[in-house]
Amino acid sequence: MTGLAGLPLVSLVTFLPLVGAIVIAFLPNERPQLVRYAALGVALLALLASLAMLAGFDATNTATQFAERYDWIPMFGIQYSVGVDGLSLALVVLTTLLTAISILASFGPIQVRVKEYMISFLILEVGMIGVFVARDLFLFYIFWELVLVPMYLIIGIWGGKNRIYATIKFVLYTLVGSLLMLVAILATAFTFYQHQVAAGVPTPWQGAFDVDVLAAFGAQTHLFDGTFGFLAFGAFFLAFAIKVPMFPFHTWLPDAHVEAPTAGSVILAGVLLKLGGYGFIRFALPLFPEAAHTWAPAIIVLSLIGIIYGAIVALVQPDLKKLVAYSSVSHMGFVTLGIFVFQQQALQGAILQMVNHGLITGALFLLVGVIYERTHDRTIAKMGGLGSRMPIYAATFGFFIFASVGLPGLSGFVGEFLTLLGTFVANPIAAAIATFVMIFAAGYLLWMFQRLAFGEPSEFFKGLGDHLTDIKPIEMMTLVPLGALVVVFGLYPGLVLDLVAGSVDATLKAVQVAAPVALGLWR
Amino acid sequence: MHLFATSVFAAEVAPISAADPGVYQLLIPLLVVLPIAGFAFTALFGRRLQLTIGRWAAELVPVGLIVATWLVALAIIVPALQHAEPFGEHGLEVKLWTWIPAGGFTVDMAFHVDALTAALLVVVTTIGMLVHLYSVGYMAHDPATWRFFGYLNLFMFSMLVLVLASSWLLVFAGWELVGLSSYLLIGFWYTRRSAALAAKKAFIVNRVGDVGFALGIMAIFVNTGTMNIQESLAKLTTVGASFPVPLPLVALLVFAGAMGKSAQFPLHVWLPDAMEGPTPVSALIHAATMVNAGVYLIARANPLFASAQEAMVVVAAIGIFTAIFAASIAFTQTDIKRVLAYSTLSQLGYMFAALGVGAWTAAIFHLMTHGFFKGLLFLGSGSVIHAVHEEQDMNRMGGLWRKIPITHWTMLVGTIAIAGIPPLAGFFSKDEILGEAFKFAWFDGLAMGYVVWGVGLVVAMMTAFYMWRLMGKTFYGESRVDPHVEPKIHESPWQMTLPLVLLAIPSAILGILLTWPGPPLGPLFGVEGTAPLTTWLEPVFATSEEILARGTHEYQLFGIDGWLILASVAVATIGLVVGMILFGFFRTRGRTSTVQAITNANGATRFLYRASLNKWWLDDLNDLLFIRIGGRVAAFAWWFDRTIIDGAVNGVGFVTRDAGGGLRRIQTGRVQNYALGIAIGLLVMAVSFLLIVGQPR
Repeated sequence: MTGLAGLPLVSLVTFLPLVGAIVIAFLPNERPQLVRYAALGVALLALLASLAMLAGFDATNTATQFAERYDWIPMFGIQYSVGVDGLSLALVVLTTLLTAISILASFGPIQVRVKEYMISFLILEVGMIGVFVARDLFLFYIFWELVLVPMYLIIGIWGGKNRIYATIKFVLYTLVGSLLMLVAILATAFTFYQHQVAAGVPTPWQGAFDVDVLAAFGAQTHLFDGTFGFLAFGAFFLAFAIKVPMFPFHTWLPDAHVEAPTAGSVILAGVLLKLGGYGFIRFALPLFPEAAHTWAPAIIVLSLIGIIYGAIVALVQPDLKKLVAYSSVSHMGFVTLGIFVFQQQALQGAILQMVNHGLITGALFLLVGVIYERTHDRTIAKMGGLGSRMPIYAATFGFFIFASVGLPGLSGFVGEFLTLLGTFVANPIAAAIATFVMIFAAGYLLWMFQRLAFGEPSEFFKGLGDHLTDIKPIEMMTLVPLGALVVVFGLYPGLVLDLVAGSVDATLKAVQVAAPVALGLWR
Repeated sequence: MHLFATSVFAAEVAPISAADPGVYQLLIPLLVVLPIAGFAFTALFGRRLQLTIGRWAAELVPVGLIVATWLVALAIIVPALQHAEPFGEHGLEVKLWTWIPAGGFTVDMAFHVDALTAALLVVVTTIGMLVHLYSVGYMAHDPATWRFFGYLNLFMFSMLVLVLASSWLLVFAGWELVGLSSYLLIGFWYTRRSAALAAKKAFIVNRVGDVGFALGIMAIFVNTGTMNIQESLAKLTTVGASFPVPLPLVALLVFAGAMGKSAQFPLHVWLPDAMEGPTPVSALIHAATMVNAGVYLIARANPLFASAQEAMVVVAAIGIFTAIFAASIAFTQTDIKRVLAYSTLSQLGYMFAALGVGAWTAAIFHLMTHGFFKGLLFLGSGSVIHAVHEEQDMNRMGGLWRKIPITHWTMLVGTIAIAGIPPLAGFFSKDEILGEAFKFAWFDGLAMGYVVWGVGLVVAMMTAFYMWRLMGKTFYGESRVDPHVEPKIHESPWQMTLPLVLLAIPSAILGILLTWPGPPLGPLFGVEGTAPLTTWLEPVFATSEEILARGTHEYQLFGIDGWLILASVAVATIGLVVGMILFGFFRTRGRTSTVQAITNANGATRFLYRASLNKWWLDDLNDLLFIRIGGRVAAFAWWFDRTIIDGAVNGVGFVTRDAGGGLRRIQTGRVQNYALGIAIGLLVMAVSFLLIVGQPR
């Protein structure tokens, strides 16, 4: 089945950046400006294509839409199977938007190996979109690992002083998790295959990697329950938990953020972390609902620790980027918490929180990048008085700080509140603990903002003289779309909530089959 | 002043409302649209306008829109107070759009206007407008007035969202937004470190209460399945219903939010520091409007509290304790604004005490009168500070009464009003609180009523005393003003003195207006009737009155009620007279040596003096707990993160790298080689995984 006007829209969105990357490879090295605009053009086309998909999407239909399916490795039943539901689509659009913004944000900062950088970025986009649209476990895994390579290069080549350590740590750490996941994928497929052989199905591999087939199979035969499910879920959990990242698997994140170039941090925080949350909802829960219930208490506890602990550690960070990185650990804790209380508002909130975190934290990293461009420093202790030196910058920073604090009217609030509310319904103690982060979040964010913007200009800033110019139009252009969406989703979160409602219901249905009575102490 | 206007306009407004009730569907949203439009306009163009055309150009839109807001509010207040159609007794709901559609949890972007909302609108829009006008004069020398007016507009928007909201979550939204505006305005002079710290402190301390409020909102949803205030309150008071979350807990969680915003002990610490903001801000936000939000919240949730009387005891206890605690600190402060700040805490404590004993109308009455006279006192203090060139220490004032006469006379009205001398406004509302508390105790056996009444009387005396201390040190006796400043002392411009006069009028007569022809004046003049405020607010508190089932008693001017009035007037007079003797009045000088002799009389008085001066060391305690100890905890957490958690990660890496000399050769640091190792390892793992799990069933 194909989408608008017979176009295979999903494949178009996914591989358009790849085509662009190939074209850019043939552009002359000595014309970086041409390369930049070409890359931006490709990213904008991908954004447009994803918006076309959004326009053609039927939110009332919970089934996978724009589905495409071709045999790829028929011997093992592996298919090129892609398609979107509301959840996928929301994250695809987030990806295409943030990629376009990231490429624009790289115009100034990236001055060496521009072509290679842009190619890496576009290939990164292919991987990210691929993860969100793949409906075949093997295809999903390919995209999942594809993401690592360009990110490895982006941090390792265009990163900061300690970039090699950071990028190797990032790649190895994520690989450990994802390889265990591959084992689990293979084991799941093999279990399916053996059952089909025993049942005398003539094509036993058929559907062995199809997530929908496998989920239905598991629900019917209960072969994915018990020890098998427990271990397989554990493997998926490790892969996704590292990516999110959940406490205590988070320590790669501050290192990677600090060393990554600005745009790398934006994508890292904005999209890569979402891969983990998405993985839980799309694969881990439907495939192993029983194991999900077994694991849930532990995951909830880890989420709560992450929420509070990330915020406390953020309170004492000396480096702007590290502070934002630890705030991500805290904010993403809401996502895993919202997923694993298996409750409607909580899950909707978790998804909204993923989108919001992408917008807000992406913007915060862009803003840190603006100051780093001018000062080549991110030490908070050296900052001060930007309110009078860079008033527009300070005001913009303040806006996103309060978005991150969770100010109602801006998008961060709705996601967090829905997550907390849903958690309260299911597990009031957990909600009570998580709500306390409201204080800590205000603490570290306002502390940072005070040190940065208030007071008299610091000696360090005075020493920079005229280099400390206010935010430039091109930098503002990267922030305005994010700010606009933060306001729009804050006042009208239904745009996201309605889009993902179908996915939420489907996921909860899958999980509730395993434990229909597990919903809540209150009811 | 306002209520004069309401009666004048009533005739003109009524026909419109009768002709087309739909007009309110437009007017009510306009109340929030106008200020936010002013904010947006000023944020975008204010700076340019101020630099290119002039200060007035930047001020025109924000001030003009607030005047328009006030006019719109008038048109709404009059019919809403009188329960006219389409408001009726239960108010009018205006839905704009569905804010949060999340399955079974739906929150509307909707407003609700009933008499309680209207009562708050009177205070918020009137004082808001006068403060805008006053600021034109007060901020005339600031290079960034445009920013100030933008923030003020943002505050008006937020406060109006708070009082108009029809759902708990929208109240919470307004709640947080007033917190933001307060943060921005306290930190308005952001290059001052003290202002930046005070702004941050205010926001964070408020958030402590907000945690409770947020959890309370979640509990209300779990209990009732709706976020709409009216619907949920109706469900919460359903007879015989049982709730997953016990109601006293819900009520206390909501009260936690109120404690933060209305600065009740121990969350009061932010308010005195908030005086770092420009004085018009202190008047508007930290005296007359925002700090009332907690009182409003509990009054709004009155059926919830009436159904959870254990929680009401806590409200009353914390309220009356804050009242006396803050008054004790106001005794010794020398910064004129800080005295007023502690006075505000103390008066807010009265309001909570009133709510806690179930004297709902009295609490709102005091909220309204206090809004006007405390707004007046703050604006007056700003005029004083302005006159003596940004000096706030009362030890460097004195003898100002003849140099700034308008400021002096208006502040004198405010002082007598807050002291509780009839017939000024504060007397009526304070007496109402104390009288109700006593009568609930006397007739209905509410023990807390005696406590509120007894302590309340002491606080009344203290209030009269420290307020006269403020007047004496500022206006009377000899001048202690810096000799260089002395010749330049001048009365403020009309933009500042006009609001003072306009606020002095309601400070003087609002008590009469809101009670006539009810007690105590009605009976005194032989007229039978009910106080208008009581009539207006009756439907709002009807459910609670029913639940509390307090007896009704005939008003006895020459009986219990008369004695109560006598008691409260007596203590106020004593406080004032002692204040006059010690701190002077007009040309009579204060007796500084007597004051010192009293403070140094013995160990106990010296201790009390130091305790009061150091605010009972609560800031020091907080500093120790949250900055020093909390900082250590956070620093430890980070050390733990780097050393233990990340250490373990790196440890695994190093062990892997260093394990076995033979293997070392393949550790080239290249990802390609690792990938090979991974491929091999993967095979091993896949096989072992299947072995562990065993054959499929």
